[in-house]
Amino acid sequence: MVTQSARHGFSQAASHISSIEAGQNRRFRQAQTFNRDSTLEELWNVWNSCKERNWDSFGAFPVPQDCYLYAAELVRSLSYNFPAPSFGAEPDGELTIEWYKSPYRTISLSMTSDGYIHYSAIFGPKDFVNDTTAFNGELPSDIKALILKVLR
Amino acid sequence: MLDPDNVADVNNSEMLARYATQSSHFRRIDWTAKQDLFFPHPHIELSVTRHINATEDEIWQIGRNVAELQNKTLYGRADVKAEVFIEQELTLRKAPLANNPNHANAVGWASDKPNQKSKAQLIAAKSTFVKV
Repeated sequence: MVTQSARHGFSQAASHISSIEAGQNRRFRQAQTFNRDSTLEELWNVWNSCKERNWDSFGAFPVPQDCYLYAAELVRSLSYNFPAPSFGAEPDGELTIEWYKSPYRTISLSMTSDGYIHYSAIFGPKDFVNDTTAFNGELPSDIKALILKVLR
Repeated sequence: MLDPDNVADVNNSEMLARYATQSSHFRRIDWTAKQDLFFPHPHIELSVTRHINATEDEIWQIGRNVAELQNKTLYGRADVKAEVFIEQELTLRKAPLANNPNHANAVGWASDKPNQKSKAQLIAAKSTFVKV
């Protein structure tokens, strides 16, 4: 026996509902894609502002292109409904990727040019977690869990 | 400003300023400083300016001088008490400059990056960002 939901029915109403849903889904996907694009654009802008030596006028090391490419790969690996991060750079030539809820609920990742992530998450004045892990093309599960804990 | 010929050691209760000349060093959503602003590498020391004996105008003028030297925009400054650095097991050393007798350095940073990040985050969390 085959059962059909209303949206897969044959009435004009069902067809109308189905077309509205399709339009909403399309707009939702476009909005999410736009957010990802704008996030990648922000990342590129940060990298572009610190890819030359001495970008801070205090002797900062340049951020290598590989660093940017790894960070972009990490952003692309995030699911559409994952919160967007913000970006920065450190004078030792690494890009930072941050998720933030409040001053004492924040996690910062430093992407290296050889595919490692240094990270630190804080949850209170004396409550923090930090480590270094390899980046294998997607957000490591332990870091993802920390991000979700920060944003909870 | 401090007398360049008689600069006292940094006291734990002093207020210190760190100038923001990169838009990615703070968050516009709530005007708070990011850890990036307090990150010491590659010098392994972090440059700060002491509020002591300085007027508000003088503190901002030093920031404008820093930004001009960097050919950057001064967005604001993060104020934080010296004791916050001490809590992170850092040492504050007076380091007067010709044009800034109130200059000091925070030294003694951990050599490993994850611990540097945590210290910078915890200092940033206790700072107050002041817009230009």
